[in-house]
Amino acid sequence: MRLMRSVKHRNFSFWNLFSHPEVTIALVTGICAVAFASFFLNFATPDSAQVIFTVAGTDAMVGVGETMLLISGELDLSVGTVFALAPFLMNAFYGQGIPILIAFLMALLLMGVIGLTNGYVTAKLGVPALITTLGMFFLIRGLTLIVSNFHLITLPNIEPFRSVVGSAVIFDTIPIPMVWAVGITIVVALMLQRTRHGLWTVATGSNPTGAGEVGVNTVRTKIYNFMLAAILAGLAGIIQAMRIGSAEPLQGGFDLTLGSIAASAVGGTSLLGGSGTIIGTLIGSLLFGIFRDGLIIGGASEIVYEMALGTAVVLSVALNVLLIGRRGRSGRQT
Amino acid sequence: MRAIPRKYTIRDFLSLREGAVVLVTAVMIAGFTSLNASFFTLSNSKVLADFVAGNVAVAAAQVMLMVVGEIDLSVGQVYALSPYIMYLVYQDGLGFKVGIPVAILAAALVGLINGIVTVRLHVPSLIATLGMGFFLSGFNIYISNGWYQIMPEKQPYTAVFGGGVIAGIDVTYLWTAVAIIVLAIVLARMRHGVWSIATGSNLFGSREVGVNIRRTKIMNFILASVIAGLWGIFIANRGFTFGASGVADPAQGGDTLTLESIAAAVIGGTSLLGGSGTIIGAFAGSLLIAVLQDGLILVGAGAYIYQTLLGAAIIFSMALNIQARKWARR
Amino acid sequence: MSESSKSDKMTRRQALGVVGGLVVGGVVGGAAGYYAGKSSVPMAPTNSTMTANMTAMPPAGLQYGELPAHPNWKFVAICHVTTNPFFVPTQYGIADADALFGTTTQWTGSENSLVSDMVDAFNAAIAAKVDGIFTTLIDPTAFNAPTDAALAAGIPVIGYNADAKAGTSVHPACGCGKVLNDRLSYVGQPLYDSGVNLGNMITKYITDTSAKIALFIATPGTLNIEPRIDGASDALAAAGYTNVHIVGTDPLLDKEGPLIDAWYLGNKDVAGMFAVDAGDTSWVGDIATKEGLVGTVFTGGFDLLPETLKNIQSGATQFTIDQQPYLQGFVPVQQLYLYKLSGGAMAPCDTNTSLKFVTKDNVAGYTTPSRFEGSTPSQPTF
Repeated sequence: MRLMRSVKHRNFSFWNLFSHPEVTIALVTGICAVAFASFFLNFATPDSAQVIFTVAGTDAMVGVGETMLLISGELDLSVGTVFALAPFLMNAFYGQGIPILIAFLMALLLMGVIGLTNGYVTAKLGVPALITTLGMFFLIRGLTLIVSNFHLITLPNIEPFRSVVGSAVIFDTIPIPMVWAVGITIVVALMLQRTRHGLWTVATGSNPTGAGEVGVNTVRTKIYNFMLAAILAGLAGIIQAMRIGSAEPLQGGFDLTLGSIAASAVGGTSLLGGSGTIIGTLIGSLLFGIFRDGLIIGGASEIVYEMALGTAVVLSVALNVLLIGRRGRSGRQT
Repeated sequence: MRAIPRKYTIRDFLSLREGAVVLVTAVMIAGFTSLNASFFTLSNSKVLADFVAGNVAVAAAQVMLMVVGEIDLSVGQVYALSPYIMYLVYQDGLGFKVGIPVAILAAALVGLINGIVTVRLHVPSLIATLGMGFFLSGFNIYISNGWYQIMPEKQPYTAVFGGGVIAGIDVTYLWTAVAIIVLAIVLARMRHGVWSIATGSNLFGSREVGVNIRRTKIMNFILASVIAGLWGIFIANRGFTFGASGVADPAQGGDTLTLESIAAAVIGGTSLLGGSGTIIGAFAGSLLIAVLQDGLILVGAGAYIYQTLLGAAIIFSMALNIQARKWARR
Repeated sequence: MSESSKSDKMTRRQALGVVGGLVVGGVVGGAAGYYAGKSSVPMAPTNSTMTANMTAMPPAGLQYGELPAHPNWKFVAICHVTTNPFFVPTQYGIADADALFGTTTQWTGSENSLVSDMVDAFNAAIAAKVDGIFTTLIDPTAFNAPTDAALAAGIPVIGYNADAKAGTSVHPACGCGKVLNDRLSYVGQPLYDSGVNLGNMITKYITDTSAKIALFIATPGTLNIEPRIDGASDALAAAGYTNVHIVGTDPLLDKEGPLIDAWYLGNKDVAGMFAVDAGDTSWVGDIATKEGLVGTVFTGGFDLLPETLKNIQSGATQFTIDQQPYLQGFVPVQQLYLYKLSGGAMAPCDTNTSLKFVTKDNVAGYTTPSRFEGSTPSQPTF
């Protein structure tokens, strides 16, 4: 399964590997992992890996949805609050007597409706995505606060639903959220690579007018991607809520939104649209997880974490840009 | 523009970018007043002014950046950084005379870094300023230990820079009014403004006619950060609105200010695609948000509703804006 | 910035960029390591200095004690609002306890009450095999699994500042009702009870049960202050007060003021404005002063922000409640130290860090800057 981009090389050379953004970010992530492991004694342990994967899993799921949108030339700021709303909706349905699995699916369906709204207002009515989704961010947050009455809720502890969706750990090392994240990454990457929707996504992002002229339904493509982003964000929210056991109305939020965009950018996706890599987003999320876990294990305070994260994000993206060359509408995909 | 003079209709008003915002705000004011007459009083207008004191200028700064197609997510942190640096320099014995310029320089430096990283390293401004925002939030806590400082009273420099009152009006409001007028003129009439609009609307074309894209963008980044820092200083010196001492608070502004400045700019009619922007719109947008927040709590609506309505307001204003433009073109 | 299309081959510049990037990546990792090695809580003399200089004179202002030699135990303090000024005295308490007992404590958690961040930090601490953990318990169940995992790994866990709500569930071991979390002790104020005390205190100032009373809360729903407002409103309801309004404001200090002001303007017949968090408490007094309500409207609340103390002196605020946050940092470290020193024999004990009311009568003791209140890092001198 070739999940890496196929690029025509004039002659293969070691340096050409770096024209794949995934390689760059994987290398940076690898170096950071090695650095942390050599400086800090307990970094390379299963417990530590669990923390990394937990943090990375959530970011990656939301990030993947965001990446697809970015490739098609749009942006979604509301994922952070959609993330918070989903578990509350699921809980509300369950409280009405609906079986948990159906409640779960219904919540995801509603997330799809939110995505549909975002997509419709943006692609069909012409309101810029930043504005639509910024407004939706607040709207959904308000709804979440109303539905939850500002209180956090404890979610029902129903097995095996809880284990499968949130709390199980495989081989003592890999928490279920990461398994979900990897699975979703593979599915979406394949979708990008192999399906017509994927092709149309790239086309819409790199050349919307031209794409429209050759028959690509750019409006529908964008709407589907908005729906995907919202559903994935909602799914991630439910998974996290199941893992922890409770849901808070203010979880996720703007930090999660920005984190998902940062993970995409760090992974090699261009914010201008037209090119991107799903796998890169997963690896970018892993990098953030490594930072979070590594700095805590290393005894660093929150202050250091924030400063280091900010620097790392900027440097990683700068590195990516430097190596790949300024990416406008070049139509590359993974 | 029509050649035949005619009466102006509501449609024309709405076709102004700022028109929709002003209309929505007026409706809200009327609505709140009908629910509780205390809304339409002088005391409440002072409270409203409190809400917008810091926000308007920062929203205008965002407009300047959005015009060139960029954005700054670190303004909220610079808003806290500058006053604290001013305080630290003062504490070292150098006084506010040195402290204030150093604080402004620090803000300018942040803007310069943002600009260089965006323009030279080609990192999208969303990411560059996001990283800077994270960095500064840690840095602010680091230099302050998390604790805020009460500013000393009766200092001439702090009075000029936000703390004083002239003819009954807070100095901060005067600075804000000046800033709005100056920025509006710059954007409309001065070369920097013209170049900014050109950069934002047609990058390659402008470069070909000689516009210095890089310098224009970097200057707008510096401008945005300096404004954020300056108004942070004003608010810190102004303190609690009635003569109580000012406060250098490492947590002031923050993400909330950043988000609200973007929301205000957007509601006011500035588009992120670049190429056009309205400073007056930023003011109107800030006012709308303030009226919303103030009104809701005054009439006793829950704290929950604010966010929902803000979101609705953002989408609604913009949709109205777009629709109005379509009408105007017919 | 040329627009010519780039070939796939690497130019020299790009190659340099790769190398530079790798170097930068390594440097960032190294810098992180360097910074991480430094103490995370400021203002603490290190224990190594003390033991190394045991025969020499201590630095001015310090004196030596005699501790049994022990490994440098590492503790982790998890907080839900790591950057909130309320916890600055807590961090000083931690620093002083570290200096006293020869331990190191790392301050981490979440900045805005995000339980997931705290749980991740908790798990990372377990992975790092630290010697003790103490955390605010702002969620009724989320910390249970990590606590049990830590205890199973031999790491003692203490709760501070906020406690998981006592549930009606029955503990399997003894068949008695118990707080759901298995933490070894809780150091802090009993939150619901402090709210009840606030409510009772209010009835002393406002005797008309139909008077309009406002209870301001910055972040409704969060476990560290919501129980207070629950306690207060329950106490007032039990005493027959019918016109009590709960008003949510904002977690940011500079926004709370205008919001309270706006509420007042819409409710000018209010008899008392009270708050359950530090920021709102400082503001209700300020707004009372601003609107000329001193003497007619009563205010009060929690914690000792400088503005609040000023208002108590001026009479704008009638009382505030001192939670002694310094102790909430000092005591957990002390308890963990004794636990480790005694091999687990000295079990941590629940500590009520007191429910002191500060009024005009005793406010004088609080008005000089003090490390114990967080207003200055300087140690007391005698």
